[in-house]
Amino acid sequence: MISADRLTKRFGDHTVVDSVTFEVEKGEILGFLGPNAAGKTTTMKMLTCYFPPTDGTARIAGFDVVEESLKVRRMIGFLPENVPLYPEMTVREYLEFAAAAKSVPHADRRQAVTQALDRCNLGEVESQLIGTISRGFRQRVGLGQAIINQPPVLILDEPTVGLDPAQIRDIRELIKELGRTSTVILSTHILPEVSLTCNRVVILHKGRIREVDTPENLTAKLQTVNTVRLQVRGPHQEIQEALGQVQGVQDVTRLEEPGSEGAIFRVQAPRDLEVRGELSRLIVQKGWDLLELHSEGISLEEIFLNVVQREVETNQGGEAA
Amino acid sequence: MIAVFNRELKAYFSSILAWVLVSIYLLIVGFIVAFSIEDFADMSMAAMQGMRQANAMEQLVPPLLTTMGFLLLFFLPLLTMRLFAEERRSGTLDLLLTYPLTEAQILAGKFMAAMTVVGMMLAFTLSGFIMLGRLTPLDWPVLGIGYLGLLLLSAAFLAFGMWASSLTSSQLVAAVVTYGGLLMLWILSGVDRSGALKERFGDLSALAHLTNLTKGVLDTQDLVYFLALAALFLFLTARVLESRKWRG
Repeated sequence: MISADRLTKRFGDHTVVDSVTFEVEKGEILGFLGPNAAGKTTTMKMLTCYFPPTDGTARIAGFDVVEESLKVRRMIGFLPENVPLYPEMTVREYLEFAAAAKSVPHADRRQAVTQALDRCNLGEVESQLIGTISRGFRQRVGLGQAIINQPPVLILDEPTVGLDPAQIRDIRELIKELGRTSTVILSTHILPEVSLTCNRVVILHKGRIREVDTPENLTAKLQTVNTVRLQVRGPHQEIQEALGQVQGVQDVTRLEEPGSEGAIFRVQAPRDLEVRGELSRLIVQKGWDLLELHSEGISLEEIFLNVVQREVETNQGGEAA
Repeated sequence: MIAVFNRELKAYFSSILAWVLVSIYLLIVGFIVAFSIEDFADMSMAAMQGMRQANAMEQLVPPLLTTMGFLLLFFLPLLTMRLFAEERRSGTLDLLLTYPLTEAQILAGKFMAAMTVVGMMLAFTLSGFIMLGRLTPLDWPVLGIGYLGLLLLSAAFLAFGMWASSLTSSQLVAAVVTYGGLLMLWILSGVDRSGALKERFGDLSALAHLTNLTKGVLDTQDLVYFLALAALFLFLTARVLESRKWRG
Protein backbone atom coordinates (compact mmCIF):
# COMPACT_ATOMS: atom_id res chain seq x y z
CA MET A 1 0.00 0.00 0.00
CA ILE A 2 2.89 2.36 0.81
CA SER A 3 6.40 2.07 -0.54
CA ALA A 4 9.36 4.38 -0.10
CA ASP A 5 12.51 3.85 -2.09
CA ARG A 6 15.69 5.66 -1.06
CA LEU A 7 13.61 8.62 0.10
CA THR A 8 15.93 11.54 0.85
CA LYS A 9 15.33 15.13 1.93
CA ARG A 10 18.06 17.72 2.18
CA PHE A 11 17.74 21.33 3.34
CA GLY A 12 20.87 23.01 2.06
CA ASP A 13 23.80 20.91 3.23
CA HIS A 14 21.79 19.29 5.98
CA THR A 15 20.36 15.86 5.19
CA VAL A 16 17.23 15.39 7.27
CA VAL A 17 16.10 12.09 5.75
CA ASP A 18 18.77 9.90 4.26
CA SER A 19 17.88 7.18 1.75
CA VAL A 20 14.95 5.72 3.66
CA THR A 21 13.42 2.57 2.15
CA PHE A 22 10.42 0.68 3.56
CA GLU A 23 7.12 -0.87 2.58
CA VAL A 24 3.81 -1.03 4.39
CA GLU A 25 1.29 -3.74 3.56
CA LYS A 26 -2.43 -3.14 3.39
CA GLY A 27 -4.02 -3.20 6.85
CA GLU A 28 -0.73 -2.85 8.68
CA ILE A 29 0.01 -0.34 11.46
CA LEU A 30 3.61 0.80 11.11
CA GLY A 31 5.30 2.85 13.81
CA PHE A 32 8.06 5.38 13.13
CA LEU A 33 10.09 5.44 16.28
CA GLY A 34 12.84 7.92 16.94
CA PRO A 35 13.95 10.83 19.06
CA ASN A 36 13.20 14.43 18.11
CA ALA A 37 14.87 15.44 14.81
CA ALA A 38 15.13 11.79 13.69
CA GLY A 39 13.38 12.64 10.39
CA LYS A 40 9.95 11.20 11.22
CA THR A 41 7.92 14.33 10.45
CA THR A 42 9.93 15.12 7.31
CA THR A 43 9.34 11.59 5.99
CA MET A 44 5.63 11.99 6.68
CA LYS A 45 5.54 15.37 4.96
CA MET A 46 7.01 13.77 1.84
CA LEU A 47 4.46 10.95 1.96
CA THR A 48 1.61 13.47 2.31
CA CYS A 49 2.93 15.49 -0.68
CA TYR A 50 3.59 18.59 1.45
CA PHE A 51 6.99 18.79 -0.20
CA PRO A 52 8.78 16.51 -2.65
CA PRO A 53 11.81 14.39 -1.79
CA THR A 54 15.22 15.65 -2.87
CA ASP A 55 15.97 12.11 -4.02
CA GLY A 56 14.21 8.78 -4.18
CA THR A 57 10.55 7.99 -4.71
CA ALA A 58 7.48 7.09 -2.71
CA ARG A 59 4.20 5.58 -3.86
CA ILE A 60 0.90 5.35 -2.05
CA ALA A 61 -1.69 2.92 -3.39
CA GLY A 62 0.39 2.80 -6.58
CA PHE A 63 0.46 6.59 -7.10
CA ASP A 64 3.71 8.55 -7.10
CA VAL A 65 3.78 11.30 -4.45
CA VAL A 66 5.38 13.79 -6.84
CA GLU A 67 3.88 12.93 -10.23
CA GLU A 68 0.38 12.09 -8.99
CA SER A 69 0.21 14.30 -5.93
CA LEU A 70 -3.54 15.07 -6.11
CA LYS A 71 -4.42 11.37 -6.45
CA VAL A 72 -2.20 10.54 -3.48
CA ARG A 73 -3.78 13.28 -1.39
CA ARG A 74 -7.23 11.80 -2.09
CA MET A 75 -5.99 8.47 -0.71
CA ILE A 76 -4.60 9.73 2.60
CA GLY A 77 -5.76 11.16 5.86
CA PHE A 78 -3.11 13.15 7.70
CA LEU A 79 -2.95 14.22 11.32
CA PRO A 80 -0.05 16.66 11.79
CA GLU A 81 1.74 17.04 15.08
CA ASN A 82 0.02 19.53 17.44
CA VAL A 83 -3.27 19.14 15.51
CA PRO A 84 -3.74 22.50 13.80
CA LEU A 85 -7.46 23.34 13.69
CA TYR A 86 -9.64 26.43 13.25
CA PRO A 87 -10.71 27.49 16.75
CA GLU A 88 -13.55 29.72 15.52
CA MET A 89 -15.41 26.78 13.93
CA THR A 90 -17.61 24.25 15.69
CA VAL A 91 -16.55 20.61 15.49
CA ARG A 92 -19.33 19.81 13.02
CA GLU A 93 -18.60 22.86 10.85
CA TYR A 94 -14.94 21.91 10.73
CA LEU A 95 -15.66 18.32 9.71
CA GLU A 96 -18.08 19.60 7.06
CA PHE A 97 -15.33 21.84 5.74
CA ALA A 98 -12.84 18.95 5.72
CA ALA A 99 -15.35 16.75 3.86
CA ALA A 100 -15.91 19.44 1.22
CA ALA A 101 -12.20 20.22 0.88
CA LYS A 102 -11.46 16.51 0.46
CA SER A 103 -14.01 16.28 -2.35
CA VAL A 104 -16.50 14.04 -0.53
CA PRO A 105 -19.56 14.18 -2.86
CA HIS A 106 -22.15 16.68 -1.64
CA ALA A 107 -24.83 14.02 -1.18
CA ASP A 108 -22.56 11.91 1.06
CA ARG A 109 -21.16 14.70 3.24
CA ARG A 110 -23.75 14.61 5.99
CA GLN A 111 -23.27 10.87 6.40
CA ALA A 112 -19.46 11.20 6.29
CA VAL A 113 -19.55 13.81 9.06
CA THR A 114 -21.93 11.72 11.19
CA GLN A 115 -19.69 8.67 10.77
CA ALA A 116 -16.57 10.62 11.71
CA LEU A 117 -18.34 12.05 14.77
CA ASP A 118 -19.43 8.54 15.79
CA ARG A 119 -16.11 6.79 15.19
CA CYS A 120 -14.16 9.44 17.07
CA ASN A 121 -16.75 9.78 19.86
CA LEU A 122 -17.29 13.47 19.22
CA GLY A 123 -21.07 13.53 19.58
CA GLU A 124 -21.09 15.44 22.86
CA VAL A 125 -18.94 18.30 21.52
CA GLU A 126 -20.16 18.51 17.90
CA SER A 127 -21.77 21.93 18.42
CA GLN A 128 -18.94 23.39 20.50
CA LEU A 129 -16.32 25.76 19.15
CA ILE A 130 -13.01 23.96 18.64
CA GLY A 131 -11.28 26.69 20.63
CA THR A 132 -13.23 25.68 23.73
CA ILE A 133 -12.79 21.88 23.75
CA SER A 134 -10.14 19.88 25.62
CA ARG A 135 -6.85 18.69 24.16
CA GLY A 136 -8.14 15.11 24.01
CA PHE A 137 -11.19 16.15 22.01
CA ARG A 138 -9.03 18.31 19.72
CA GLN A 139 -6.96 15.23 18.97
CA ARG A 140 -10.15 13.35 18.16
CA VAL A 141 -11.29 16.16 15.85
CA GLY A 142 -7.90 15.92 14.12
CA LEU A 143 -8.44 12.20 13.63
CA GLY A 144 -12.01 12.92 12.50
CA GLN A 145 -10.82 15.17 9.68
CA ALA A 146 -8.22 12.58 8.70
CA ILE A 147 -10.81 9.82 8.26
CA ILE A 148 -13.64 11.98 6.89
CA ASN A 149 -13.09 10.74 3.30
CA GLN A 150 -12.51 7.15 4.48
CA PRO A 151 -8.96 7.08 3.12
CA PRO A 152 -7.20 3.75 2.71
CA VAL A 153 -4.05 5.27 4.26
CA LEU A 154 -3.75 7.21 7.52
CA ILE A 155 -0.57 9.09 8.43
CA LEU A 156 -0.50 10.26 12.04
CA ASP A 157 2.33 12.39 13.37
CA GLU A 158 2.74 12.03 17.15
CA PRO A 159 -0.97 11.34 17.70
CA THR A 160 -0.73 11.11 21.50
CA VAL A 161 1.71 13.90 22.29
CA GLY A 162 0.54 16.24 25.04
CA LEU A 163 -2.32 14.01 26.22
CA ASP A 164 -2.89 12.70 29.73
CA PRO A 165 -2.71 8.91 30.33
CA ALA A 166 -6.47 8.38 30.04
CA GLN A 167 -6.60 10.34 26.79
CA ILE A 168 -3.57 8.43 25.46
CA ARG A 169 -5.35 5.13 26.13
CA ASP A 170 -8.50 6.38 24.37
CA ILE A 171 -6.61 7.60 21.30
CA ARG A 172 -4.58 4.38 21.17
CA GLU A 173 -7.78 2.33 21.12
CA LEU A 174 -9.18 4.61 18.44
CA ILE A 175 -6.08 4.18 16.26
CA LYS A 176 -6.30 0.40 16.62
CA GLU A 177 -9.95 0.61 15.59
CA LEU A 178 -9.06 2.81 12.58
CA GLY A 179 -6.32 0.32 11.69
CA ARG A 180 -9.01 -2.27 10.94
CA THR A 181 -10.10 -0.34 7.85
CA SER A 182 -6.99 1.64 6.91
CA THR A 183 -3.26 1.19 6.58
CA VAL A 184 -1.67 3.37 9.26
CA ILE A 185 1.73 4.97 9.70
CA LEU A 186 2.20 6.70 13.02
CA SER A 187 5.21 8.40 14.44
CA THR A 188 6.12 8.70 18.06
CA HIS A 189 9.02 9.14 20.38
CA ILE A 190 7.06 7.46 23.18
CA LEU A 191 8.29 3.88 23.15
CA PRO A 192 5.40 1.94 24.75
CA GLU A 193 3.14 3.56 22.17
CA VAL A 194 4.62 1.48 19.37
CA SER A 195 4.57 -1.88 21.11
CA LEU A 196 0.95 -1.37 22.11
CA THR A 197 -0.31 -0.17 18.75
CA CYS A 198 1.93 -1.24 15.87
CA ASN A 199 2.49 -4.44 13.92
CA ARG A 200 5.90 -3.27 12.78
CA VAL A 201 8.44 -0.69 13.88
CA VAL A 202 10.85 1.46 11.89
CA ILE A 203 13.55 2.89 14.14
CA LEU A 204 14.80 6.15 12.69
CA HIS A 205 17.83 7.99 13.97
CA LYS A 206 19.49 11.00 12.40
CA GLY A 207 17.43 10.57 9.25
CA ARG A 208 18.36 6.94 8.61
CA ILE A 209 16.55 3.68 9.23
CA ARG A 210 18.33 1.65 11.92
CA GLU A 211 15.95 -1.27 12.29
CA VAL A 212 12.69 -2.46 10.72
CA ASP A 213 10.86 -5.36 12.31
CA THR A 214 8.00 -6.43 14.54
CA PRO A 215 8.36 -5.44 18.20
CA GLU A 216 8.68 -9.18 19.05
CA ASN A 217 11.46 -9.83 16.51
CA LEU A 218 13.31 -6.72 17.61
CA THR A 219 13.12 -7.98 21.16
CA ALA A 220 14.48 -11.38 20.18
CA LYS A 221 17.19 -9.86 18.00
CA LEU A 222 18.42 -7.25 20.42
CA GLN A 223 17.90 -8.97 23.74
CA THR A 224 21.36 -9.70 25.12
CA VAL A 225 20.37 -11.00 28.56
CA ASN A 226 17.58 -13.03 30.11
CA THR A 227 16.00 -11.00 32.92
CA VAL A 228 13.82 -12.57 35.65
CA ARG A 229 11.88 -10.61 38.23
CA LEU A 230 11.18 -12.22 41.60
CA GLN A 231 9.17 -11.15 44.61
CA VAL A 232 10.14 -13.12 47.71
CA ARG A 233 9.27 -12.90 51.42
CA GLY A 234 12.23 -13.73 53.66
CA PRO A 235 15.61 -12.38 54.82
CA HIS A 236 16.52 -9.95 52.03
CA GLN A 237 20.30 -10.11 52.27
CA GLU A 238 20.36 -13.89 52.46
CA ILE A 239 18.01 -14.25 49.50
CA GLN A 240 20.12 -11.93 47.35
CA GLU A 241 23.28 -13.87 48.13
CA ALA A 242 21.59 -17.24 47.46
CA LEU A 243 20.23 -16.06 44.11
CA GLY A 244 23.70 -14.93 43.11
CA GLN A 245 24.98 -18.49 43.72
CA VAL A 246 22.66 -20.08 41.12
CA GLN A 247 24.63 -21.37 38.16
CA GLY A 248 24.69 -18.97 35.23
CA VAL A 249 23.32 -15.94 37.13
CA GLN A 250 25.34 -12.88 36.19
CA ASP A 251 23.76 -10.22 38.33
CA VAL A 252 21.18 -9.81 41.09
CA THR A 253 19.73 -6.38 41.85
CA ARG A 254 17.28 -5.57 44.63
CA LEU A 255 14.60 -3.15 43.43
CA GLU A 256 13.20 -0.54 45.76
CA GLU A 257 9.43 -0.50 45.36
CA PRO A 258 7.85 1.13 48.42
CA GLY A 259 4.71 -0.58 49.72
CA SER A 260 5.39 -3.92 48.07
CA GLU A 261 5.29 -7.08 50.10
CA GLY A 262 8.63 -8.89 50.61
CA ALA A 263 11.65 -7.98 48.49
CA ILE A 264 11.84 -7.61 44.73
CA PHE A 265 14.90 -8.79 42.81
CA ARG A 266 15.96 -8.57 39.18
CA VAL A 267 18.15 -11.49 38.16
CA GLN A 268 20.11 -11.47 34.91
CA ALA A 269 21.48 -14.53 33.11
CA PRO A 270 22.76 -15.17 29.56
CA ARG A 271 20.03 -14.88 26.91
CA ASP A 272 19.91 -18.60 26.07
CA LEU A 273 20.03 -19.88 29.67
CA GLU A 274 16.72 -20.69 31.38
CA VAL A 275 17.13 -20.06 35.12
CA ARG A 276 13.52 -19.73 36.31
CA GLY A 277 13.19 -23.40 37.39
CA GLU A 278 16.43 -23.30 39.32
CA LEU A 279 15.48 -20.04 41.06
CA SER A 280 12.02 -21.23 42.12
CA ARG A 281 13.40 -24.55 43.46
CA LEU A 282 16.03 -22.71 45.48
CA ILE A 283 13.47 -20.43 47.14
CA VAL A 284 11.13 -23.31 48.00
CA GLN A 285 14.03 -25.41 49.38
CA LYS A 286 15.09 -22.51 51.62
CA GLY A 287 11.52 -22.21 52.95
CA TRP A 288 11.01 -18.64 51.75
CA ASP A 289 7.70 -17.51 50.24
CA LEU A 290 7.79 -17.05 46.47
CA LEU A 291 5.19 -14.37 45.77
CA GLU A 292 5.94 -13.69 42.10
CA LEU A 293 8.34 -14.84 39.39
CA HIS A 294 8.30 -13.87 35.73
CA SER A 295 10.60 -13.34 32.82
CA GLU A 296 10.98 -9.70 31.72
CA GLY A 297 11.27 -9.01 28.00
CA ILE A 298 13.55 -6.25 26.82
CA SER A 299 11.64 -2.98 26.58
CA LEU A 300 11.52 -0.99 23.39
CA GLU A 301 13.34 1.70 25.28
CA GLU A 302 16.26 -0.69 25.75
CA ILE A 303 16.03 -1.81 22.12
CA PHE A 304 16.13 1.79 21.01
CA LEU A 305 19.07 2.63 23.24
CA ASN A 306 20.87 -0.53 22.03
CA VAL A 307 20.41 0.50 18.42
CA VAL A 308 21.64 4.03 19.02
CA GLN A 309 24.51 2.81 21.21
CA ARG A 310 25.53 0.28 18.56
CA GLU A 311 25.69 3.06 16.00
CA VAL A 312 27.80 5.28 18.24
CA GLU A 313 30.22 2.40 18.78
CA THR A 314 30.35 1.67 15.04
CA ASN A 315 31.11 5.32 14.31
CA GLN A 316 33.78 5.48 16.98
CA GLY A 317 35.30 2.26 15.64
CA GLY A 318 35.31 3.71 12.13
CA GLU A 319 36.93 6.96 13.26
CA ALA A 320 39.59 5.08 15.30
CA ALA A 321 40.39 2.92 12.27
CA MET B 1 -12.30 26.18 -3.99
CA ILE B 2 -15.89 26.53 -2.75
CA ALA B 3 -14.98 24.79 0.53
CA VAL B 4 -12.17 27.29 1.17
CA PHE B 5 -14.41 30.19 0.10
CA ASN B 6 -17.18 29.16 2.50
CA ARG B 7 -14.75 28.63 5.36
CA GLU B 8 -13.10 32.01 4.87
CA LEU B 9 -16.42 33.82 4.63
CA LYS B 10 -17.57 32.14 7.86
CA ALA B 11 -14.25 33.03 9.49
CA TYR B 12 -14.71 36.70 8.54
CA PHE B 13 -18.16 36.95 10.01
CA SER B 14 -17.62 34.73 13.04
CA SER B 15 -14.90 37.13 14.19
CA ILE B 16 -15.81 40.60 15.34
CA LEU B 17 -13.15 42.13 13.07
CA ALA B 18 -15.14 41.90 9.82
CA TRP B 19 -18.26 43.38 11.44
CA VAL B 20 -16.25 46.21 12.99
CA LEU B 21 -14.44 46.94 9.72
CA VAL B 22 -17.63 46.97 7.64
CA SER B 23 -19.48 49.07 10.20
CA ILE B 24 -16.75 51.68 10.60
CA TYR B 25 -16.21 51.91 6.85
CA LEU B 26 -19.93 52.47 6.31
CA LEU B 27 -20.05 54.99 9.14
CA ILE B 28 -17.19 57.03 7.70
CA VAL B 29 -18.54 56.84 4.15
CA GLY B 30 -21.97 57.80 5.50
CA PHE B 31 -20.54 60.91 7.17
CA ILE B 32 -18.63 61.88 4.08
CA VAL B 33 -21.67 61.42 1.81
CA ALA B 34 -23.85 63.47 4.20
CA PHE B 35 -21.34 66.34 4.35
CA SER B 36 -20.77 66.18 0.61
CA ILE B 37 -24.48 66.45 -0.04
CA GLU B 38 -24.62 69.50 2.22
CA ASP B 39 -21.67 71.06 0.39
CA PHE B 40 -23.27 70.24 -2.93
CA ALA B 41 -26.52 71.92 -1.81
CA ASP B 42 -24.55 75.07 -0.99
CA MET B 43 -22.79 74.87 -4.35
CA SER B 44 -26.11 74.44 -6.12
CA MET B 45 -27.49 77.52 -4.41
CA ALA B 46 -24.45 79.54 -5.36
CA ALA B 47 -24.56 78.22 -8.91
CA MET B 48 -28.23 79.08 -9.29
CA GLN B 49 -27.47 82.64 -8.23
CA GLY B 50 -24.83 82.71 -10.95
CA MET B 51 -27.31 81.18 -13.42
CA ARG B 52 -25.27 78.00 -13.73
CA GLN B 53 -26.41 74.50 -12.89
CA ALA B 54 -24.31 72.44 -10.45
CA ASN B 55 -23.58 68.94 -11.79
CA ALA B 56 -23.40 66.20 -9.18
CA MET B 57 -21.75 63.77 -11.61
CA GLU B 58 -18.85 66.18 -12.01
CA GLN B 59 -18.54 67.99 -8.70
CA LEU B 60 -19.78 65.46 -6.17
CA VAL B 61 -19.55 61.83 -7.31
CA PRO B 62 -15.90 61.54 -8.52
CA PRO B 63 -14.32 63.01 -5.36
CA LEU B 64 -16.68 60.89 -3.24
CA LEU B 65 -15.67 57.68 -5.03
CA THR B 66 -11.99 58.60 -4.85
CA THR B 67 -12.30 59.17 -1.10
CA MET B 68 -14.04 55.80 -0.76
CA GLY B 69 -11.11 54.23 -2.63
CA PHE B 70 -8.62 55.99 -0.37
CA LEU B 71 -10.46 54.68 2.69
CA LEU B 72 -10.21 51.14 1.32
CA LEU B 73 -6.44 51.53 1.58
CA PHE B 74 -6.83 51.61 5.37
CA PHE B 75 -9.42 48.86 5.68
CA LEU B 76 -8.34 46.15 3.22
CA PRO B 77 -4.97 45.34 4.84
CA LEU B 78 -6.95 44.42 7.97
CA LEU B 79 -9.01 41.99 5.88
CA THR B 80 -6.05 40.31 4.21
CA MET B 81 -3.52 40.22 7.04
CA ARG B 82 -4.83 36.98 8.56
CA LEU B 83 -5.51 35.07 5.33
CA PHE B 84 -2.19 33.21 5.23
CA ALA B 85 -0.21 34.61 8.18
CA GLU B 86 -2.62 33.17 10.74
CA GLU B 87 -2.81 29.81 8.95
CA ARG B 88 0.98 29.69 8.83
CA ARG B 89 1.26 30.57 12.53
CA SER B 90 -1.29 27.99 13.66
CA GLY B 91 -0.08 25.26 11.26
CA THR B 92 -3.46 24.87 9.53
CA LEU B 93 -1.81 25.84 6.23
CA ASP B 94 0.39 22.72 6.42
CA LEU B 95 -2.69 20.56 6.79
CA LEU B 96 -4.60 22.42 4.08
CA LEU B 97 -1.73 21.85 1.64
CA THR B 98 -2.03 18.08 2.15
CA TYR B 99 -5.72 18.13 1.14
CA PRO B 100 -6.55 17.34 -2.50
CA LEU B 101 -6.60 21.04 -3.39
CA THR B 102 -4.27 22.94 -5.68
CA GLU B 103 -2.56 26.12 -4.52
CA ALA B 104 -4.67 28.00 -7.10
CA GLN B 105 -7.90 26.65 -5.57
CA ILE B 106 -6.84 27.68 -2.05
CA LEU B 107 -5.81 31.09 -3.32
CA ALA B 108 -9.01 31.59 -5.33
CA GLY B 109 -11.20 30.58 -2.37
CA LYS B 110 -9.54 33.06 -0.03
CA PHE B 111 -9.44 35.85 -2.61
CA MET B 112 -13.10 35.46 -3.54
CA ALA B 113 -14.13 35.44 0.13
CA ALA B 114 -12.26 38.71 0.75
CA MET B 115 -13.75 40.17 -2.47
CA THR B 116 -17.23 39.19 -1.25
CA VAL B 117 -16.73 41.11 1.99
CA VAL B 118 -15.50 44.18 0.07
CA GLY B 119 -18.38 43.77 -2.41
CA MET B 120 -20.82 43.84 0.50
CA MET B 121 -19.13 46.91 1.98
CA LEU B 122 -19.38 48.75 -1.32
CA ALA B 123 -22.94 47.56 -1.98
CA PHE B 124 -24.09 49.08 1.32
CA THR B 125 -22.54 52.43 0.35
CA LEU B 126 -24.87 52.55 -2.67
CA SER B 127 -27.68 53.56 -0.30
CA GLY B 128 -26.00 56.98 0.05
CA PHE B 129 -26.09 57.49 -3.71
CA ILE B 130 -29.71 56.30 -3.88
CA MET B 131 -30.58 59.07 -1.39
CA LEU B 132 -28.55 61.54 -3.42
CA GLY B 133 -30.40 60.44 -6.55
CA ARG B 134 -33.63 61.65 -4.99
CA LEU B 135 -32.18 65.13 -4.61
CA THR B 136 -30.38 65.53 -7.92
CA PRO B 137 -30.27 63.56 -11.16
CA LEU B 138 -27.45 60.99 -11.28
CA ASP B 139 -25.97 59.21 -14.29
CA TRP B 140 -26.20 55.63 -13.05
CA PRO B 141 -24.04 53.98 -15.77
CA VAL B 142 -21.27 56.47 -14.97
CA LEU B 143 -21.66 55.71 -11.27
CA GLY B 144 -21.51 51.99 -12.18
CA ILE B 145 -18.15 52.53 -13.88
CA GLY B 146 -16.95 54.31 -10.74
CA TYR B 147 -17.99 51.32 -8.62
CA LEU B 148 -16.29 48.99 -11.10
CA GLY B 149 -13.16 51.07 -10.49
CA LEU B 150 -13.52 50.58 -6.73
CA LEU B 151 -13.94 46.82 -7.19
CA LEU B 152 -10.88 46.62 -9.44
CA LEU B 153 -8.88 48.73 -6.97
CA SER B 154 -10.00 46.37 -4.19
CA ALA B 155 -8.96 43.31 -6.22
CA ALA B 156 -5.47 44.76 -6.69
CA PHE B 157 -5.21 45.81 -3.03
CA LEU B 158 -6.44 42.43 -1.77
CA ALA B 159 -4.02 40.54 -4.02
CA PHE B 160 -1.16 42.66 -2.69
CA GLY B 161 -2.34 42.08 0.89
CA MET B 162 -2.60 38.32 0.36
CA TRP B 163 0.92 38.24 -1.00
CA ALA B 164 2.20 40.14 2.04
CA SER B 165 0.26 37.76 4.31
CA SER B 166 1.77 34.73 2.58
CA LEU B 167 5.29 35.94 3.37
CA THR B 168 5.04 35.90 7.15
CA SER B 169 3.39 34.22 10.11
CA SER B 170 2.79 37.58 11.80
CA GLN B 171 -0.48 39.33 10.99
CA LEU B 172 0.98 42.61 12.18
CA VAL B 173 3.94 42.39 9.81
CA ALA B 174 1.58 41.45 6.96
CA ALA B 175 -0.61 44.48 7.69
CA VAL B 176 2.34 46.88 7.93
CA VAL B 177 3.87 45.63 4.66
CA THR B 178 0.48 45.98 2.96
CA TYR B 179 -0.06 49.52 4.28
CA GLY B 180 3.40 50.53 3.11
CA GLY B 181 2.99 49.01 -0.34
CA LEU B 182 -0.49 50.35 -0.97
CA LEU B 183 0.33 53.83 0.27
CA MET B 184 3.32 53.89 -2.05
CA LEU B 185 1.10 52.79 -4.93
CA TRP B 186 -1.42 55.51 -4.10
CA ILE B 187 0.98 58.43 -3.80
CA LEU B 188 3.30 57.43 -6.62
CA SER B 189 2.10 60.14 -9.00
CA GLY B 190 2.56 62.77 -6.27
CA VAL B 191 6.10 61.60 -5.53
CA ASP B 192 7.11 61.35 -9.19
CA ARG B 193 6.99 65.11 -9.77
CA SER B 194 9.56 65.11 -12.53
CA GLY B 195 7.54 62.46 -14.36
CA ALA B 196 10.61 60.26 -14.86
CA LEU B 197 8.83 57.12 -13.65
CA LYS B 198 5.72 57.89 -15.66
CA GLU B 199 7.81 58.40 -18.77
CA ARG B 200 9.52 55.05 -18.37
CA PHE B 201 6.76 52.80 -16.99
CA GLY B 202 3.53 54.68 -17.69
CA ASP B 203 1.34 55.88 -14.85
CA LEU B 204 1.85 53.46 -11.96
CA SER B 205 -0.26 55.37 -9.46
CA ALA B 206 -3.49 53.67 -8.39
CA LEU B 207 -5.02 57.09 -7.73
CA ALA B 208 -4.56 58.24 -11.32
CA HIS B 209 -6.20 55.12 -12.75
CA LEU B 210 -9.07 55.23 -10.25
CA THR B 211 -9.71 58.92 -10.98
CA ASN B 212 -10.42 58.14 -14.64
CA LEU B 213 -12.93 55.45 -13.72
CA THR B 214 -14.69 57.62 -11.11
CA LYS B 215 -15.37 60.11 -13.90
CA GLY B 216 -17.00 57.36 -15.94
CA VAL B 217 -14.11 57.05 -18.39
CA LEU B 218 -13.79 53.37 -19.28
CA ASP B 219 -10.23 53.21 -20.56
CA THR B 220 -8.61 49.82 -21.28
CA GLN B 221 -5.37 51.09 -19.76
CA ASP B 222 -7.02 51.55 -16.37
CA LEU B 223 -8.71 48.15 -16.49
CA VAL B 224 -5.48 46.44 -17.53
CA TYR B 225 -3.55 48.28 -14.80
CA PHE B 226 -5.75 46.98 -11.96
CA LEU B 227 -6.24 43.51 -13.43
CA ALA B 228 -2.51 43.13 -14.10
CA LEU B 229 -1.69 44.25 -10.58
CA ALA B 230 -4.16 41.74 -9.09
CA ALA B 231 -2.91 38.94 -11.36
CA LEU B 232 0.74 39.72 -10.57
CA PHE B 233 0.30 39.54 -6.81
CA LEU B 234 -1.96 36.47 -6.95
CA PHE B 235 0.72 34.79 -9.06
CA LEU B 236 3.41 35.81 -6.57
CA THR B 237 1.30 34.48 -3.69
CA ALA B 238 0.92 31.14 -5.48
CA ARG B 239 4.70 31.04 -5.97
CA VAL B 240 5.23 31.71 -2.26
CA LEU B 241 2.89 28.81 -1.40
CA GLU B 242 4.69 26.55 -3.84
CA SER B 243 8.10 27.61 -2.56
CA ARG B 244 7.97 24.86 0.10
CA LYS B 245 8.44 22.42 -2.78
CA TRP B 246 11.72 23.80 -4.00
CA ARG B 247 13.16 25.43 -0.90
CA GLY B 248 15.83 23.52 0.88
